[in-house]
Amino acid sequence: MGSQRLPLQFCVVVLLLLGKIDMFGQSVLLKTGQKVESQGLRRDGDLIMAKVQVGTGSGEVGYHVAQIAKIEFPEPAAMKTANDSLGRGDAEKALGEINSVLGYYDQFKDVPGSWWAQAALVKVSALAAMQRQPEAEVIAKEIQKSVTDPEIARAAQLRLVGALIRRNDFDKAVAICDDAIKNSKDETTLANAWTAKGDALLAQKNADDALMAYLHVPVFYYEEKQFMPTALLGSARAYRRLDDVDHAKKTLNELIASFPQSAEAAAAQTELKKL
Amino acid sequence: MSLRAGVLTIALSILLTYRAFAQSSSPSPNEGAELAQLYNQGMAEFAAGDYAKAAADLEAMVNKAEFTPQLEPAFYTIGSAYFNAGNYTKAVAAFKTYQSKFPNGAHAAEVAFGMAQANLLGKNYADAASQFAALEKDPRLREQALFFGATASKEAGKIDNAISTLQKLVGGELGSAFSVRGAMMLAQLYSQKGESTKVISLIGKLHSRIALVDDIVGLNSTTVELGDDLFKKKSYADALECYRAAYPREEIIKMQTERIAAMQKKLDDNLNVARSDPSQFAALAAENNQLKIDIVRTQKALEEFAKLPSITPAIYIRLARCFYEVDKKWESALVYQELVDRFEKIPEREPALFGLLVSLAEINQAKKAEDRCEQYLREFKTGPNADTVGYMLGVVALQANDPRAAETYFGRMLETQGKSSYRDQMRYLLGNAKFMAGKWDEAVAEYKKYLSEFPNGQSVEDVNYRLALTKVFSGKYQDALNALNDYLKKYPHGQYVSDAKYRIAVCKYAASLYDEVIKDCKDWEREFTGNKQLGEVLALLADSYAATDRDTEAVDLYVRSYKTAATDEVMNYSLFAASKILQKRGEWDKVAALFNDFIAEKPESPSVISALYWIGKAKAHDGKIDEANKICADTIKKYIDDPKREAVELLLTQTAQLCVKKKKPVEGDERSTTTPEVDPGAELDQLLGNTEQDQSPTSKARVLFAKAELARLRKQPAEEEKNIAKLAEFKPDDLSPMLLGRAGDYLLGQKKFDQAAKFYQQLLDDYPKSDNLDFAYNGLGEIALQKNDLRSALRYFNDGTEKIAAQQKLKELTLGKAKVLLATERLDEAKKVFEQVASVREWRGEATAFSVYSLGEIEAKRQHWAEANAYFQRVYVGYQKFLPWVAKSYIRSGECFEKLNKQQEAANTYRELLRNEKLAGFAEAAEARKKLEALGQQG
Repeated sequence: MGSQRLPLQFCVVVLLLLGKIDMFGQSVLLKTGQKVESQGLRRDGDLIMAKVQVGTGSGEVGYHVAQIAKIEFPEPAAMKTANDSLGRGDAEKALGEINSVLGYYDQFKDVPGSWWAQAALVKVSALAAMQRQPEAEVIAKEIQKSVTDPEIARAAQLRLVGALIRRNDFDKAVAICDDAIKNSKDETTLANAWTAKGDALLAQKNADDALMAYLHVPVFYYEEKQFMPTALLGSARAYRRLDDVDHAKKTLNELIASFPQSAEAAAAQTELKKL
Repeated sequence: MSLRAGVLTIALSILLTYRAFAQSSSPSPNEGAELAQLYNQGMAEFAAGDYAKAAADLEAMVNKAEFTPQLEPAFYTIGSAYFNAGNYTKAVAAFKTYQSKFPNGAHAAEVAFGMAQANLLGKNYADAASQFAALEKDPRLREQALFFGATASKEAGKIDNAISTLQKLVGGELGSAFSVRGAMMLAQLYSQKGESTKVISLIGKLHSRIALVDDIVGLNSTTVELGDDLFKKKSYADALECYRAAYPREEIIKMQTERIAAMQKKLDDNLNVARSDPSQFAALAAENNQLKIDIVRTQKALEEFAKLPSITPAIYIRLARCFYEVDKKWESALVYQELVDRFEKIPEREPALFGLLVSLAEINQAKKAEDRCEQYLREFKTGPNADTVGYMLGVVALQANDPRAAETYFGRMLETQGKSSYRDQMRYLLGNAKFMAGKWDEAVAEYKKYLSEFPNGQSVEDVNYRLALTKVFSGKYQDALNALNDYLKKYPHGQYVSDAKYRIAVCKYAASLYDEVIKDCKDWEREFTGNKQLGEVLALLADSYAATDRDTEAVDLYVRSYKTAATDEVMNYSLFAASKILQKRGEWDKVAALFNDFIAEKPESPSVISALYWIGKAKAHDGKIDEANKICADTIKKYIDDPKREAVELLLTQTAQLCVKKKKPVEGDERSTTTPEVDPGAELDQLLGNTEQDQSPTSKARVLFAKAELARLRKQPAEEEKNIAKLAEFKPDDLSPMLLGRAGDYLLGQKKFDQAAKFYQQLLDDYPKSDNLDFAYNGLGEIALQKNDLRSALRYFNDGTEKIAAQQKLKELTLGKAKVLLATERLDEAKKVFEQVASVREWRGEATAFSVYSLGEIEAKRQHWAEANAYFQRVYVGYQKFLPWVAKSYIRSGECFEKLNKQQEAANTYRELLRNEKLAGFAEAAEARKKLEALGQQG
């Protein structure tokens, strides 16, 4: 059934509803300009099966992925709730919330309009916040391979900076950050880039420049709450390296008070004891 | 609010009214027609906007006509016409007439609102406020009534009333355009009353409901103004919140454009609805009229705004100033930096650049501050802050402990900024810069220039005192005495009197006038009770007693000195001076007591570990080895995890020493003669055993070091190297300064330069005040030399000999410097340094052999063959222990002879090499054979 069974021009009504349709209310925009309102979509190999109204009943129509210009998926509510959870420092909750989105969008990863890449980025952030770097890196690489949007590609690249720092490949890490800082217009990406650059500079013991990098977040991107804990912890460490114990303590206390659930707050408690 | 809405509803009733006139029995048909004509005329004039005429004609009509309820619209229109004509007094009167005639008329609500509005616009604020208050009960008019009622109260100067009215409007969620406008007004009123918390809260609320704000340009402007207001009142944190809430230009244009489009869409949607449902026409027409007005207004504001340059610089400079005022200097520097680097031609550039360099100076970013000072002086040579910046350039250099740069800057500014208001200070600080650099004569010259140029300057006393001090520091004690006494005469109550009297005692000490020094110091203590310099004075007093062999008094004074010392330097000096005397007298029990007291007195001092080391040493001296070992082991366990505690290595070495030391048998103890000797390795393991099991890498590394030390003391070089090699497998982060140096040296010896560099760099970066820092300078210098990076190599060697008090690696650093100078053909300088190395008795050994050989090489480069040969001969004659240099020297000596055409002597030299069996395996032996062959001789 579907276009492999009938030529495209006959792909109007094919069969009665079969299989599971998970979501409803999407519009399928074809490259021909045609717009198909569907009540649900599912993936069947290379085909996207759309449930459509046929008279008083309904049927399924199959479209090859190559024929589709875009599917207008509504933004999943869980994207916002997961980002909010990340912003509060509750990475575990964010992970649970975003996994449900990814569970659906995995099948539409390669379809324009899919929320897969954005959801995957949230998952990478959640895993990184939970110190599950290896899993985060696997997904980040997958994102890079799958997307054409340069902003998303940059965001995914930035998620890999942590691994480069651990391998002492500081030049490459800083180059990725600088590229994002120069070319991105997205505030989330910019906040991410500055934080990652701070990490790379601090790892090279360049505390002055690291501090300036971290401070970009609370000064210019303070709405990007998910990066604030890292930026604050990094700033505190940089202050400490500069022997400015007072500011180090103030920053750690600010982190603990503002983001008590975050992993960085726990690290801050330990570091305060050393000061 | 326009009352033009009345036009359309009245138009529908024209026919009705005409009929009414037509049907009325009282007027004659002619009068009816006249009245109808007047009515139509009036309505047409109203529709055409000729409100005054409309009002006049309609009033004439109602005066002539007999009253009927059908005249209701006419009475309403009269009031509307007067209102639209701006004649508010008559509008109010007309509306009152309407109310009296039609108390429940169809337009009663509009009339009540219109009357209130007319009173507001006619400045009858009290009436307006009470009328609007009455309208609050009408749900259709509630928000407008609250807003305009508050406006009336505000205009009447009744701010509290205005506030309480607006609180009713904005108390909950902001759900409409009027509530948003009300919130903006309320924010301004709160700001007037200084209630900044409420202001910030409202700003936040407004920004969270930005979708309802039609006039975003206006909101942004209000937000910034509120911020400025708060800044003036020194509520910097709140001002910061306001500035942060301001949108950048691009975003304002985008949002405002979207808002205008949304209003236009609303207008179009209203028209569509009205076409499909004419009954809603009137109400929608009113809304549309308002929308049209708002669209025109906001479009105009947007166009004006779009012509303006970016507001980002204006916001950024405000942000930067706020951050500075709330002591967030780094953040301030960051914003200024962004401003300066992103925006080239803006009015704010000069203050931003100045703000940046001030912030950088405050956060001790001296180099960056210097660079920005230079930038300022390039871009704003005659700028309003040029004088200050010129002065700051030197100050920042002094702050960075770079007196040479400070000299250059102050000198330059004094030349180029002849009229600077900082000239006095700069002249003085230039002298100070030379003083700091130890250039005494030049400092004196500058200070004299100061006194001549500024005889009444603000630093005259300082300069006079410093002139005396230069004599002290340059060792001209007699002159210093005279100058100091002159100072005291001139400034009997001056700020340096206590220091001057101390320096006089120092001069007398230098002249060995110990009894006078003792008297002076005692007098000083009486005169300056509680002075923070007491520790130094007591140390000098103790030194004098020690110099006159009054050790008991000296020790007591040293103890007093360390207890009162204001600096660690004086504290340590006095403590260890007392210890030395006690050690010299063999009073080890008192040494232990001294350091025990010290630990009790200053338990947090970094010298505590050294103190424990000496206590252990004292115990060992008294034969109490086990006790000494226990003290060492306990102390080690306490501090072994902390790589910053450098003295732990001292204790580890001491522990190893104590393990190696044979224990004396205890007198009278029969068992002592039969007790088997404990293996030192096993004993060390036992002492540090628990420590090794600790997971900390720092502890594990230190245990390896202890084992290496033990092997060294037991003359087991292979075992020592094995343990040191293991150190090199640790991460640099985990090692203490000494171990970083040792691991680096090991790797350097293995020619693993990049790995070694990491250890040295860690030492340099993390422990800039370590006693082991010379390992880093030397190691990095050697690596650079190996990689032929001669410039870097020289920098490291120079820094190692000049910037720090190198102890363990001074010889290597000096030699390294000499090698680089030789490699870069700076022969005179190289010669000087090699001669220095060769002359140091403590360094006698291979370094001397190499130095003498190098001196020969220098002469050879100059083709001074005889002189060169003399050096080479010195090596193979005087340093026979150092075979590589001996072998090389033989060859070079032979070559010198050849250059001097003394072939036979050359051949003899080569043969002498070959006769030395110890040199048989060296490459030079084969070379000697070749040389002989070339000379036609045999070996």
